Amino acid sequence: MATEKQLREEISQKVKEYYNVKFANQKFTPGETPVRYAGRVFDEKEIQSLVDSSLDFWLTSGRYTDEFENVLAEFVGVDNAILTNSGSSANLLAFSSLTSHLLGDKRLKPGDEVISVAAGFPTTVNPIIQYQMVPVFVDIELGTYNVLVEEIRKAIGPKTRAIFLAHTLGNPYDLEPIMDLVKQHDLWLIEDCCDALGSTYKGKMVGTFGHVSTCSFYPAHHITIGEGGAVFTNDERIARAVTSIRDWGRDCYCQGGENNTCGTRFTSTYGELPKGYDHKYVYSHIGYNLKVTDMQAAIGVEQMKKLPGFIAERKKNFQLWEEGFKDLESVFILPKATPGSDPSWFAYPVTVKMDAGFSRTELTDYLSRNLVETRNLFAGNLLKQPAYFGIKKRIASSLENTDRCMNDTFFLGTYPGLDEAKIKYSLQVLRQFLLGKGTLI
Amino acid sequence: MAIIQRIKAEVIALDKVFSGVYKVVFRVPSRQNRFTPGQFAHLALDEFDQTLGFWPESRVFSISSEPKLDTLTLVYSVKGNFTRRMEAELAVGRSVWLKFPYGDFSIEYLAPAQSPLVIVAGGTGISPFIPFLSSAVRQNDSRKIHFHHGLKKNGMLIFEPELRLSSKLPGFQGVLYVEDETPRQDLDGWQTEAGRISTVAVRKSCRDLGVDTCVFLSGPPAMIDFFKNDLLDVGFSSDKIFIDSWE
Repeated sequence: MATEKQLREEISQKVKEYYNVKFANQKFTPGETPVRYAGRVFDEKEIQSLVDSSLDFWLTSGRYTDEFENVLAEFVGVDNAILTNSGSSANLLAFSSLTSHLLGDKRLKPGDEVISVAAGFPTTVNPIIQYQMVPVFVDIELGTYNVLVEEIRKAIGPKTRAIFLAHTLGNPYDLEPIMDLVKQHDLWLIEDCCDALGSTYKGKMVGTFGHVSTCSFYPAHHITIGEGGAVFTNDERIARAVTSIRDWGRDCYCQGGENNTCGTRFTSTYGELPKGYDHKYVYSHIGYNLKVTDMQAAIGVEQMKKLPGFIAERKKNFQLWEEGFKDLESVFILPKATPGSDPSWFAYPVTVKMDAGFSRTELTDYLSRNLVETRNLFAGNLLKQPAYFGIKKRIASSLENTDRCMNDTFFLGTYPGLDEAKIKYSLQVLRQFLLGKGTLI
Repeated sequence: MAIIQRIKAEVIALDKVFSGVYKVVFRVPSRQNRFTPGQFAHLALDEFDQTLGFWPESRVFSISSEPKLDTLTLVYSVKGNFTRRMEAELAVGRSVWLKFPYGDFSIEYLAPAQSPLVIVAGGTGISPFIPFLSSAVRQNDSRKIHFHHGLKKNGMLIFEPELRLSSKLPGFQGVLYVEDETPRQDLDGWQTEAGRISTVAVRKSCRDLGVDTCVFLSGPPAMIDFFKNDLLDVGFSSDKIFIDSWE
């Protein structure tokens, strides 16, 4: 009879065969095959790892979670990488950890102000509202699509306690002067790196500057585990708060299948509970269940091995777009990296100029009909979204550029599933459109 | 909580400090050796099958070395079946499974930065303070620390090099109490006293160091309760007393 090891090896080999039949050798036929803006990039190893994990049938976090968190922490350069079930959950956890009693008087409280932007993804801002704090919106700069430091400086007021910003589409914001403001005003900084895994600023990874940072592993992102995200921090109290809030708010830190990790499961007193109340059911935070399964982490372990290659491909694809757009500056505002940064680009963002002679929607619609995918810059201006009518907020400056983004900006993909042929085709389609508009001769 | 590491670790040194008390040094990957001084580790003697996921029987021990090294040190006393197994089975070259870091007994997080400290450690209860002291020596920490350490016999002093170095800290005062014999006089920088740790001396330390003093107690439960109640009786604030007590 075959051993477990032998069976695992046989199954793994079959998975590889299956991959070769189902997923390998996909051809691109211009005009027939869609050019996606993003998507999962994988080979048989991710599926083998996923199946290997499924054979454990350990359905909560386990050996692959340990490995993935360690590798992730090492890659980013932080002490703690804590997995969760999405980048949005990571943002929620990062923010809520700053309200924890573990942080004493420095914790964020209802009514505090948090500086952010409206030109971005909703779940960078949502936790601020959900925790009854006041988002303070500042404008962004076209081209970098990041906040201007001067706008932050002007926006800081007596109630300002934190800054929560995403590195837009992988382009780091100007961290050095922002960190100066953080220190000067004793603010918390949350770096949303959901679109920026691997981006660096002055040689250092983003996600290592703020008190806590996040990333996403949704399929559009730099690596994927399907649904997933992570919180990064070097602060043990924040790490403790994150894991507690992620895990129902419990005080216990046993992992799945463990008991009495603390050694005082039935011997301590908490709150007004009777002495010896089972520590497994003591809650020191108002929490959620935002955990991932080991199977998702198994995919992540393999994706991390590919990440340096993915980052290189993204940069190469960005350069291909740059080359293709370089004579179109009369029509488009082209993207530029923040000085001192080396972005691991999530996308290639472009803004249609006011006098271009066509609208963004006309162009993106044409591209879409010709199978070239694009996306708007997420929510555009969050304050124009129905969900945000009536929220308590402060608008610290004119949001003129935010509105321009909402109206005129879109992005093309840079993900590793793109190559020269697909980008070349996309540029041909774009140029056809411009010819049709009389913009190109 | 910092990422929990589950590491298969090899014993690279084993010292019998005195009857029934051992100091064990394990080789660990330095990158995974992350914890806050004061935290503890689980030690399992049986194999951990990661594919099954269930952690085997283990016991907890304070980590008594600094983080980020490629070694991790634990001290244990033989008290029950598990520690008797450890005594019988641990040898240089033997591997165990370690799982850490756990625990909240961290001076760094419990006491405000630079607040004066009174530390009371009975016997092997000194273990959780060693990483803190080593780190303080490395950083030439100037905070005021009054350290009261009690032993039954002179030969039970476990961390002599670390304690000698600690006495050189600018704000450090150490008193070694030896209960059952004449205390040794050669522990440079430390006062010595015959008998048990003195409540009078501990109270005096708290008074001398002022209202911001935090007290850390580690040792047998009875000892901890005794000192905690004594300090509360004289009006010391309970939210400035932190204990590390093992049943």
